[in-house]
Amino acid sequence: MIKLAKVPLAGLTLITKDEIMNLEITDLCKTYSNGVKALDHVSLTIPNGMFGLLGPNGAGKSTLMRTLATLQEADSGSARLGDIDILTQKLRLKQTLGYLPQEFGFYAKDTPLNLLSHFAMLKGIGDKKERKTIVEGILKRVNLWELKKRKLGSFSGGMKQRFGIAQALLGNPKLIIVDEPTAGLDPEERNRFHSLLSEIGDDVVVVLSTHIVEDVSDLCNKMAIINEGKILTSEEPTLAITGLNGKVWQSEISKENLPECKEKYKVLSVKLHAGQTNIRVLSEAKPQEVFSSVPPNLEDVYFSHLYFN
Amino acid sequence: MFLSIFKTELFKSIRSPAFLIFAGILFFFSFQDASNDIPTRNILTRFGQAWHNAPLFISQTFALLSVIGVLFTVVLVARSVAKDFDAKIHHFFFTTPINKFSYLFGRFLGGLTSNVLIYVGVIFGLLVGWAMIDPKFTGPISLGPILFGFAFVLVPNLILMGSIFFSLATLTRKMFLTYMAAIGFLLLYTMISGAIPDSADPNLRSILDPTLISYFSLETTNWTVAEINNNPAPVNELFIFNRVLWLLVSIVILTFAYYRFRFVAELQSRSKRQQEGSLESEGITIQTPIPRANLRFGWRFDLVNSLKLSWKDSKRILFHPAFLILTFMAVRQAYHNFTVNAGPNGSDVYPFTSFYLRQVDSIFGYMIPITIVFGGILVWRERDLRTNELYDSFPNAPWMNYASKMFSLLSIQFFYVISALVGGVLAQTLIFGYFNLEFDLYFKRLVAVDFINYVHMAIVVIFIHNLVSNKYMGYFLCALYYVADLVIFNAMGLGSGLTHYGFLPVYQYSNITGFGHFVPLLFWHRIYWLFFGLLLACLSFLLWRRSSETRLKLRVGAALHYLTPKTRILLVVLLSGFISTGSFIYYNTYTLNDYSDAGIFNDRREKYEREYKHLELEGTPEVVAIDLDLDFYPEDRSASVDGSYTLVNKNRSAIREIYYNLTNRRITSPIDVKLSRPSRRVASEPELGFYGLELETPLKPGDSVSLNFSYNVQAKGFSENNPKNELAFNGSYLHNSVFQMPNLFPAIGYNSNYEISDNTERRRRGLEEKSIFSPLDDSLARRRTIGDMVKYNATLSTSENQHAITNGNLVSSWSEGNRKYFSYSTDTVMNSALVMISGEFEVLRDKYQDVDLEIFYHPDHAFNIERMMAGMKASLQYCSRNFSPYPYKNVRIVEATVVGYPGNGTATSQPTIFTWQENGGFISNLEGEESLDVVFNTTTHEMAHQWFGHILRPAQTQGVAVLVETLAQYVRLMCLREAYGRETTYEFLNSEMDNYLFNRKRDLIGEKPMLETENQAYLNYRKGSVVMYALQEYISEDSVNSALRSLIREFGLKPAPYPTTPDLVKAFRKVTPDTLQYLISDLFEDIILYENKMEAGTYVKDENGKFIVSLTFNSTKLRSDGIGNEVEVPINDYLPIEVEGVNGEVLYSGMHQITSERTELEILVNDLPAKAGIDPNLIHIDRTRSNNQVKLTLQSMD
Repeated sequence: MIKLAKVPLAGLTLITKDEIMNLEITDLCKTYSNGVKALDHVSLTIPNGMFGLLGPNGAGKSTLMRTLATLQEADSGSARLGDIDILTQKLRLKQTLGYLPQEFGFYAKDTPLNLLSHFAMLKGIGDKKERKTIVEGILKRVNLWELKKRKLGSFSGGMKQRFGIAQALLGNPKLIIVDEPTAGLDPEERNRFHSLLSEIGDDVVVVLSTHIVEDVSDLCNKMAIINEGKILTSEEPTLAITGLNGKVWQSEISKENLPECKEKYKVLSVKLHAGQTNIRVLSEAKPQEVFSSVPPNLEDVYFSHLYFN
Repeated sequence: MFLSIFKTELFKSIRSPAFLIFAGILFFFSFQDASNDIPTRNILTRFGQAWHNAPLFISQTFALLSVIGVLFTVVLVARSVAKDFDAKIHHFFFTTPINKFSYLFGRFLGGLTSNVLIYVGVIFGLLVGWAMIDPKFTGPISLGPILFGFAFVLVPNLILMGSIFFSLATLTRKMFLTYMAAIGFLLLYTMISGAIPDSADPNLRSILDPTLISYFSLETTNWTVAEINNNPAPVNELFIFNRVLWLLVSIVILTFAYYRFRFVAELQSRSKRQQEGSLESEGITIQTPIPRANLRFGWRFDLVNSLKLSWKDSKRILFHPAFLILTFMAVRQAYHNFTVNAGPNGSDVYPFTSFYLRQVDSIFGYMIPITIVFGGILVWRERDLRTNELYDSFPNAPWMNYASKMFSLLSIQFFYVISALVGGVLAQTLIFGYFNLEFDLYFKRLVAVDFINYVHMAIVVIFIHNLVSNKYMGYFLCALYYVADLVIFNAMGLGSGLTHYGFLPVYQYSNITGFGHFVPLLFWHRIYWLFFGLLLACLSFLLWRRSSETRLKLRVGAALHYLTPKTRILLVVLLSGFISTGSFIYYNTYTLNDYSDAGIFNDRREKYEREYKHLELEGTPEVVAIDLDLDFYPEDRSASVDGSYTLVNKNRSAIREIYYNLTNRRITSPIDVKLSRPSRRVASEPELGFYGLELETPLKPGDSVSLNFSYNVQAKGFSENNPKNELAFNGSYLHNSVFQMPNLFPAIGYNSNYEISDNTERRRRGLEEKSIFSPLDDSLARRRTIGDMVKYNATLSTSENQHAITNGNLVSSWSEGNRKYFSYSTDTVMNSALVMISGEFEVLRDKYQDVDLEIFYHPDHAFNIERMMAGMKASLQYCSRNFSPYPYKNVRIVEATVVGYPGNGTATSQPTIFTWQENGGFISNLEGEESLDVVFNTTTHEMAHQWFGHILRPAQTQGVAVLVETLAQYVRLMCLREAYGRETTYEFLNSEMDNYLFNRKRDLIGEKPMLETENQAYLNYRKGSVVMYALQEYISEDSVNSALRSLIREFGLKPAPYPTTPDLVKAFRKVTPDTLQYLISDLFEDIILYENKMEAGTYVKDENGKFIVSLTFNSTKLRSDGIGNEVEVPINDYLPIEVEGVNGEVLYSGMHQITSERTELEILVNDLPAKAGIDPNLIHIDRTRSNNQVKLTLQSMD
């Protein structure tokens, strides 16, 4: 048998190095064959800790995530994790990667214990005893230990995502990529999932993509907003919110006035609340008498960048 | 309610893809069969000149397809309720106010109706097929027989199978069990149709076989083509009883299912699991520290991973019921074929491993669909489950996933190989109690031959599935690949070992010499294509569908990324391996050997005929003496030939040009052929192997000249289509038959046997159609026979551990150095059908009067040599006493290997020798056999050919085989009667008549009277036996023998004209009284059948204490044409009447002249009679033979 990996590897390598690594994305571009620009000169620097990538559906989040997970090629640009060039040293990156895809399934008759142990094997945990300890530890961590022998086919969405995180934690990852992990979870499941994510250590780069603002506000101390393949902003959520202080105004209006308001003002969001239409607008000054100033939140930041950048 | 459930089920089923697929398969299957104009290639029952749309065939088609379609029934009918359990929507039905009856039977009938409807595909398939085929294959098309078959054969069959599987699936709620039951059904079916035939009652078989297949074949065994064409499918009380019985069984089964079916959501055992389901993990996550893992990477780890991954995949398939069923069916088929006819000709032979392995081919047919289907499942599994992104993000080498898929598919295939091994070992040990298992042979055949074929399949299937953009496209392209493979390489014969991927050369395995000289041929072709296969495998892993970008163009780009230096080296190694082994094969096939496919071969034969046919009418000299020096060098598969022919001009005019054929391309030295008189070359066609020499002074009538020839022959290297089998390491077999090209020895004159004989091929090439058999009045043909009458002297030599054998008396033998020499010679002229054999043999010697009898056999095959010796003696004695003295001093039986020997298991006779191929009588298993001694029996026949074939040499016209085979059969019968008695002889005759009656309808050229038979074994051998036995019963054995004696006196070892069947008939007529002359016409010049039937028989005791037997019987005499149209002819014949006593002793036996269809007769016997019969021993051909005898009853005194 001939070794085909590009990375020079000994027959058996033990990876024990433990240094702090930054994820450095520079000028990444990707255009699909149908002309859609999924990544348009994306540059980001992502330090250790939880990083949120916020954007609407179709913004290019998954393309970026897949590219970082080596599952997709970029047209140009570069991405590095520490000294690893993600785009060319794929195998090396994979050795330190934990990836939770947006959509995934399992063979319904597998059990968490078996499958996780199988994945652990594939991810390089070759020692049987060690594998057993690690799998047990991770299953307990994601609170699936009690369910270790149940069939995955009977799992709810939240349980499935927890299992997804479990496999991403295997093999001492330095980069964990979680693509839209909370989509389709009910609020309670999402809460539980948030607390799970928040426990992933701070010495790891975690990139979380989502279109749900709470995910970022709950979890991330760094974030970027992406739309149509472009990074609109990249900053700390708290700083971004502070930046909108005094610029967000709210009012209750009647439904008929909505089109008119939309034409006149930079409407951030329209919400129905107890039968009333509640609108928030972005404005340097008070737009009208009926509006009152409100403290901005992350959602305002998100929409302000999305619509009025 | 019922109606709406029925409708819903039916429409849902009809709209499902399965419905269309099944109907399509049935359509294709029946269309293929109906439109196939090569009768021997039909899948369904169909034969000879019978119409494709004969009513019987239509009904048989429906019966057979209903069984083959059992899987369709399981899917459409059995799953109709069970699928609710699968989908777990049964709760819904059980909680609505639907009643059990409507639910169960609505579903059942809905499923059944759709099951019936898919068979409409058969109707269309047949109709379209008939419309497309040459009209001569079909009779008037009418819907009646189709509707009959559909309504009374198909539908009841489906109802039965449907109720069985429906009930099973519904009651157990387990589809696995139901699939297993489908096997059970097929097993039961083969048990009934396969195991009962020996047991007594065919009526019972007809009834017990629920499918009607047995019924139809048993009822029509002796039907003629005319009857098949014109009669409707047979319907009698057995038919009605069968249908009613199995319909009742269906109803009972359904009723049982109805009462046992519980209309509740869960069977007991499931409720437990349900409770477990309420467990939902809520609590707060526990902060457990996860230990740091020591990670291992690298190729060794990846290899282990790919094996583990593959086991995870393949165990799901290996334990899948559908897979197990397929494996079981495949192995069962091999096992069944092996146990039913363990050996050639259906006679019982010892169950050698090689015979079982020959049946393993049937597994190959299963392997293609299995590899395609499971290959697809494997390749697409991660994408289907959407786990592919996870696997793709794992840190494994780029080949890891590909390797794991390959390993999975190979392990599935290897499971088949192991199953085949287990099936064979079980059959050998449990069924036959045979323990010489030859595991090494199992391994060589199953692994080196079969498994490598499967590996190639796996490589191709995964390659295709990896390239295409979806699974179904993959299935389609894989299927297309194998269809194209079949069409291009098998049907059209295009391509060679160098261009046909995965090519397995044709080889022969001999129990005596093993794989012999085929080893290098097999080895190099296997290696060559394995290199290519591995190249494809590399291509597959480079192009592996790994990321989310699956377009081929992007993958080609990514493949470059994986082209590491080591991969490049691997590719270069593989490519150069492929090219260098290919060159080596090319050198062997095309440079060392002459590659000729059928097309090239036929081109040469056409040219031969077109350019030289006119020479046929020119005078050619005759060979009167052959002197030969032949040295075998078995170890390098070569021989040197040095010989001469003495040629005499027996024509009335002088001969100027002498032509000869010498077409053997094994000749490796310059061919040195010279006449003893000055001559010059006038024709030289090395391509055709045809040469001409012109004498300076023409050869006057009566003058002679000798033709001297000298050259070496050698089988060099290996060749896929020209393996030169006659030169072997052990068992070289050279001959000078003029029927076979190429020929190793010069054959004088134009030889019409080399012309293309297949008329379709002749038409295509614009050649006139020709028949192999000239009509009786062809005066040219009357002067033609096989071989010349020659004086033959030969000295053969071979290596010291072998024995060299040829025709004639062994004069002396000696050793010189490390070689052995044998000198043969004849005092009497001999038919020049010569063989030269060299091999390692044991010898059994004996003597009959002054004739030396020898049997040369393989040391392990000594089972039956004593029986052979007895047969030789019996036949030699019978023929030399009754026909003419045996003219030579030796007779030898020589065991030939399968390699290079024409005909499997058969024996061939040459003067003083007959060769018997290893799979024939030498290994027949006659232990504990109480019926016929086939070895003795066949030996007597073959020995008789010394007279009928070699002393009496018939002209090459129609009926030639009667003078050879029929007369040898006669000797066989007489020897059998002498050695084993009358009863055994009658049994044998009865099986001969069975065979004749059964095969009549399969004749492609139409039945002929014995006078004019052609290549019709069922006439020349089978009917021949019956005819000759009847003749000697009427005119006496002595008269028959005196007629044959006179024929031999007139023609034996004499020059042309040669005898024909009219000469034989004339000889018989001479010894036949006038009153029986009609019999000669009936037996030889006509096709006559009798319908004898004893109606009633009684007896009374008369005043003298004797018994008066009163008999009433019918006798009809029928004349048949070639396809079995019969007309009644007036009867005025002598027929045997027999009365038997209570212990079976014959009380009365006599010939009675019967003049009317109905006869009443009184016979006086001395003892108490029990039975009486007309032609009770069945010496006449009679289609209903069970009614020739009756039990006698005491006549009541009124």
